[in-house]
Amino acid sequence: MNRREFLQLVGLGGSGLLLPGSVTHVLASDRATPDWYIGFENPRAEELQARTLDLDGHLPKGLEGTFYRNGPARHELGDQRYSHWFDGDGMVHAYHFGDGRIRHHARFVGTPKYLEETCAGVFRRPAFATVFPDTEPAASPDAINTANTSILPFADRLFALWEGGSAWELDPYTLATSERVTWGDGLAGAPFSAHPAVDTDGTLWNFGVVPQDGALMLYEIAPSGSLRRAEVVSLDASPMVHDFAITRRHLVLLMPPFRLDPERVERGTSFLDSHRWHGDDPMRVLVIDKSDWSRRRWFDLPAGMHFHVGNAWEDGHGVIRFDYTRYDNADFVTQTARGLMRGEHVAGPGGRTTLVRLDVRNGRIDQEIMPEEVEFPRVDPRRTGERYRQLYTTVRTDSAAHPLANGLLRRDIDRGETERYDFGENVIAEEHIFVPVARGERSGWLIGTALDLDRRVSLISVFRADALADGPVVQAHLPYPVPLGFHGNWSGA
Amino acid sequence: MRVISLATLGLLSVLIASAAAHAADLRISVANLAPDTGHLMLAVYASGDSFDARDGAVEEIRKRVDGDTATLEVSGLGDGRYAIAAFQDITGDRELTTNLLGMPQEPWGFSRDAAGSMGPPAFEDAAFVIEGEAVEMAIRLNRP
Repeated sequence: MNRREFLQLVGLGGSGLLLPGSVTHVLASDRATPDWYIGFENPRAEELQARTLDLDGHLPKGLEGTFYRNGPARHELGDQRYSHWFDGDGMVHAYHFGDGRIRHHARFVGTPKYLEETCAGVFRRPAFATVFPDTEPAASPDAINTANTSILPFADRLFALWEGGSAWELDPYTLATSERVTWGDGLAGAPFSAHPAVDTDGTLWNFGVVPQDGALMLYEIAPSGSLRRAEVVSLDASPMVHDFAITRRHLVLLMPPFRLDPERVERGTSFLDSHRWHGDDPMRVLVIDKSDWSRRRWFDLPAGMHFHVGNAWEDGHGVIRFDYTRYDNADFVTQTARGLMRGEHVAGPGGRTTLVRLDVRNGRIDQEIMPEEVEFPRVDPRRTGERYRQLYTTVRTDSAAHPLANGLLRRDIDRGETERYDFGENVIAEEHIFVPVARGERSGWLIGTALDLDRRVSLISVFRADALADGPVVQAHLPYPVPLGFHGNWSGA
Repeated sequence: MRVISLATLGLLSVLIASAAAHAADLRISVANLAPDTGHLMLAVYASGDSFDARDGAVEEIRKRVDGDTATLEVSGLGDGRYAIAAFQDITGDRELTTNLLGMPQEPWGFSRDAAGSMGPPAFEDAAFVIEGEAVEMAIRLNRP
């Protein structure tokens, strides 16, 4: 190993000194907090079980399987509280649907970080955005891997995913944590993003941003779970990229001008705070040929930030269309998501569905920004990389009595029509996913969770995807609130 | 002449005393080895350049791993600043195995348990001074 190689990838390290503004020792009980703060508190126990949820409505026939979700959940330990929503250790939830009932079970992912800090009773490793004064250096990205971002059933296995390190395998039935996943020789510990794309033929595609010098890992994994290909692609910078999309022929990556600044990378500066927003630079679009990763083309969109890409497809003439949830800048991740942990609503630019048309023949690229404030775009998974019309997101309206989404939105992107459901001002809507029923892109269920601030419990709802406005066909409330999470996926029975 | 002899002797004794001081022992204890497997590979560097290059060590030691700790002694080091880089060679190739991205795949560590913020530490962070006295250095290896 030479120094440069080591430098390239010993990853997200960092530790030591106090970064102003990155540390709070304030506990919930020390101050008056808004009602929505319960979404950012620890769960009431390390493991949650509710054997039979009370149902309002009836479970649709044939809807049998498990809805898995993941999200940061251990926000506090001892007298320490993380300063950022994205920092906490991941807790995986399984909502089992069957026999007319819904059962809930949740456990933390037993990463080395989680296990060691549990024993120590103290957060001692750096987090995404928080570095406590006495934090130990991180030996590798996986040393600080919280596995808190998504959960993917794939090839009869279950993977808890993070952005900057390995996937962690869980038992699909007990949620017990198994091994860190190494996809092939020489790949142990390489970044594997939380947003892999499952192709229509079952192939799993993924990327991972390698911090510092700037490089991208690309993965192609067969439906059996065995690795077909993995390569490192050099970049001239290290942008924060959370999600990507595929078409039939291409991988599409959006690289916002929110980049790791080598000068900020020093002991005591968190990974997040090592990034800098370059508002005069474009959002770069990288299009990579699926069959030959050396064939890469770059295009520019105006400066913007994103976390999520809904879907992408291309026609026979080389025109790629995709949607992403666009922000004017990085304020959500640098400020708003910190304010949430303090119980403060730091208002900033919200996400907007943005429809992009990219003609790779002549390089023409145009985008159209929709007016609604949305997040968590999902589509019918059978349409991944294929022509799609229906886009499902959460939506926030002016009536929301909290900083997050309070409804769901279906957008027909061909016709421009929308349909919505409003949970009410005191409910926080989380991601809702599409579960297919029969052929047809509108034939399916939309399943997701929400946090009811009046009753102080979490909800799980099932909607007909083509009739959101009718309200849920069935809704259940849990006997407790669970911390607000990120992403989920369905595994059919 | 006698006076000169005495003076010479005196000088010699100073030199001898000094030489003893300049050949202090360095006692190194290494913890968190993967138990009973492979070899501990340890190198002592006397300059930033050699440390960064991992080349030109003043002392290199290879020792079979027995248990999960090891103690080593290096003697004859002169006064100066040194830094240690260590890893456990489990694969038996005498190199630190890394993944495709250069990240260590075998236990590794540095003197003063130094760690870089995104890569290996600088010589300055791992460096310690030998000045006459014996020095004890504990290193806890990182696990991949």
